[in-house]
Amino acid sequence: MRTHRLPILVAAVALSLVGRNRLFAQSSSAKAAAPIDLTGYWVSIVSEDWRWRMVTPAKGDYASVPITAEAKRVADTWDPAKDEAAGEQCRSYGAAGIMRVPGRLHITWQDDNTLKVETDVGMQTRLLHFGSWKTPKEAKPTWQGESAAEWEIAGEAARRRGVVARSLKVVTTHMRPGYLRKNGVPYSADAVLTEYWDLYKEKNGDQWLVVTTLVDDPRYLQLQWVTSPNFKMEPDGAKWDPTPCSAKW
Amino acid sequence: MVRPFSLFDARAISRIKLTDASECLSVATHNRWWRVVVAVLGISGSVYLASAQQNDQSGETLDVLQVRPNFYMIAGAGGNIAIQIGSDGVVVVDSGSAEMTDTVLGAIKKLSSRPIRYIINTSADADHVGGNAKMAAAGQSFFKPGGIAPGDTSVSTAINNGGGASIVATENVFTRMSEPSGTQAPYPTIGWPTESFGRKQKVLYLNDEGIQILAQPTAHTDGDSFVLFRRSDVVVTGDIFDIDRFPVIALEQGGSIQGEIDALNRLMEVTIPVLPMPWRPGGTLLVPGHGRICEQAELVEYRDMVTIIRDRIQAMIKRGKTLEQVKAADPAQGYARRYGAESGRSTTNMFVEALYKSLTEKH
Amino acid sequence: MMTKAGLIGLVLLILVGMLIVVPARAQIDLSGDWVAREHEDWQDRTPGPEAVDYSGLPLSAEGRARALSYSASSLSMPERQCLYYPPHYVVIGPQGLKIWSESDPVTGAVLAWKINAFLDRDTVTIWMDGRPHPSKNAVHSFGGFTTGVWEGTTLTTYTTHMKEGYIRRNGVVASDQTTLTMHFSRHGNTLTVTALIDDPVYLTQPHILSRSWQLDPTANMAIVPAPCVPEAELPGLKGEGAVPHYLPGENPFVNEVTRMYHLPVEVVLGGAEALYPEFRKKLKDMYVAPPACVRYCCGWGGPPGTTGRGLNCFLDGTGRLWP
Repeated sequence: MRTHRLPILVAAVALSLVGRNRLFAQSSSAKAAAPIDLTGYWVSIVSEDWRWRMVTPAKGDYASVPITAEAKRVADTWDPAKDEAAGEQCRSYGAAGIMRVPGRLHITWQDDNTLKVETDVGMQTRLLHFGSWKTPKEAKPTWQGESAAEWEIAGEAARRRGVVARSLKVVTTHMRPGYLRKNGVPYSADAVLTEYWDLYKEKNGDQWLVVTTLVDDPRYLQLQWVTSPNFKMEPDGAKWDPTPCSAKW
Repeated sequence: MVRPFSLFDARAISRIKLTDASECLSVATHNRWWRVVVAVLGISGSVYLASAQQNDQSGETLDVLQVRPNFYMIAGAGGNIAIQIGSDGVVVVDSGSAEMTDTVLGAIKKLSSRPIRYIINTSADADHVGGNAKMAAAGQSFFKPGGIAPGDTSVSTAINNGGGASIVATENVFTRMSEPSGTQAPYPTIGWPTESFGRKQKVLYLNDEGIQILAQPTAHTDGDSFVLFRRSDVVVTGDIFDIDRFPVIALEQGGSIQGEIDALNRLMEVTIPVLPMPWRPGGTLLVPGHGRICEQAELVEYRDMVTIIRDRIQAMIKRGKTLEQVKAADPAQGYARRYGAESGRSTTNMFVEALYKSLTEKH
Repeated sequence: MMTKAGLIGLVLLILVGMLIVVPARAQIDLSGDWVAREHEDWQDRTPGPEAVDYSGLPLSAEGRARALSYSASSLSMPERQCLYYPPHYVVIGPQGLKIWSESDPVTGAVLAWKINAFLDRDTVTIWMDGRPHPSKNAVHSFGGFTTGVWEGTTLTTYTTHMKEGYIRRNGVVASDQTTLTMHFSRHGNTLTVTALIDDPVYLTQPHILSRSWQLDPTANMAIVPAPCVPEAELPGLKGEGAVPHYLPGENPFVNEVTRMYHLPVEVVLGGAEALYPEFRKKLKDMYVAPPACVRYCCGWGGPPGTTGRGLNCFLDGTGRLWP
């Protein structure tokens, strides 16, 4: 009798390790259920849209953004000095634009259900709330808005096959009007930001974070604006360089 | 031991996989039936692994690739060796280095049991003709001594090559390989060309296809040729086209940069890409002197590279630059990392120097 | 003979095995017609980059020298007119993607994913059956040789055996030694492909590009490219050996981007240093934004009929209204 306990024990241990997706819903926290580890320091690698991101492009340069005529009218009035004077120098560091501003991210768990994303450029903080968190009714719009996060779960059939999804989905609303681009390409208070954060590990040890970013704005965008900034993991925060917002640079 | 690999059957090696299921079933159990199942799966898996390792442990250094159904390339024996097989026997273009000949012969035997009938040499370089003697001796001439009929003396012993395979090359290759004015010949007699030619081309018709050996004067050397297999649609280029390095312009053997460029352009004329539907498979394949099997697209890049570097050096010569000034200006920039070398028998500096001298005719 | 407890244990283990084993079926369905969303690098991907603009590329000195020798006239050489772009053109070109799978007729397992819908690129076949890559001496084809594995719900692919080809359409090439890693991540009807182009000859580090497409069942994309009929188009370029190029130091376009966009020439000529945020400190005292947009101010790629809709952007240098 004793000799047959081994297969049962092995099976029980194995079952406890398998079907991890099923356990997410039952896990006590998003941190414990995380299928990927996004924590650490990440640096923008600006290999796309270089002259629209590393420097402030010329006024009137809206290439690649499917703006409406109204957005063009607003963008044509962009005045960085006026923004600075009005204390609006953080307009291009709002949630819908910050991930494309060249800089570094520091991602940590603020608590078991809140992922904290800090940026050195603009010294911004995004809080990504998991679980049953809802935007408080009295919440005022902020630069970073209110973000609801969830681990992207594979479908039922895929989960039964043991497939584990490895993405983070974040939906952000309640943003103050800001800029998608530093030269005044606007997004409105009605904008909705949807992001999918994917982590890739390469054979040479590099780790990449790619954030597929979808911005919907019925006022200023003809269609959903889709971009995907890339970040490379760094071993530590040695190059972390907090820099305040600037409307001009 | 050689590892045959087919362009047309890339899945050959991956037929057997150890499945996850077998790993799941390898559990400690007292049931005899399951033990038998596990043992069978384990043995089949380990047999597969052993055969792959055996191949690796044999110290194989040759890479045998199928180019067409009846055409192969052997890499790793000096210069590339091209093999055409058929009912007439085996035709070999270039015999590689002498020290690899036994291994090459073993590889050829696996491809065909028919005898080697012809060796065609694209130049007199040691890594292209070094295997001639042994390979010819292992081969079998079409021609009986004295001719076909009894009493017929029309076929001389020279053509018969002592019963061994015939060897075709340009006259200048014959001159380089045979004994010039009283000194020791670099190669034994049986390895010398038996059918040398001084015309634009020599032709054969073997294994149901026409074979054109087209002389390319003053290219890499003054004895170069490339070989066009018309039905197979394969061109064996010798060192006129070497995808791994800058072309060697052997000035002391009559090579020249203009001849090299002319030869590359002539190669362009006989290679055909897949037009007007480029997405379809096919087109002329090239077996270069060294390196991988190519198509016309690679030849375009190579020809353009040689032409551009020639143009750069030419422009500096026109401005009166010395050789040292030309070298310092790095005329191979943009290409040296891919095709050049800092040391060895063919370096970037040697290439630049040869071009300079060829263009100024100071050699 | 197995006891009841042993049998239960074995059954549990088999169930565990079924949960662990990932059968060779698609983890996620990538098939369909995917329309490009050129909301990044629209100019590079559609009208084309400026003649000398290597910003954002981790070019080596060799890569830079090679790019600077490029003349667009070479495209008129008959022997070059029908050359395809390599597989990394998936993330460099403007076109959509048509993706479909081919399955084993007996088991139904996906043997390969295929990608096309390009005019000037061959089909990329992603082998999913574990086959090895060919010998280093095998031919490099226009489609390259690609194998793929599922990592969660992301398809990760590895391509070798590519021909030399452009990674930017102004003459920046990746050599035939390049390897390409791609990650295909589908989120709803959005597909993001992240590509790492690794060229030890012309790049100092892998070049990363990530692009997104969105599913459109009405796109009706072609499954094969268009035919190509080359012909001599320019005097002096008749396929007889003439090769257009610029001699070192003589490319006339080196300062054009500096003039139009005020970017320092060291940025224009590429290099990995300029990809990192700290490079902005160097730029701060060197850069003054141009007073106004001069070129391609409002363009972007989207569904047919929407590009520049309702916008009156500006007249370009040819007098044409450019959206």
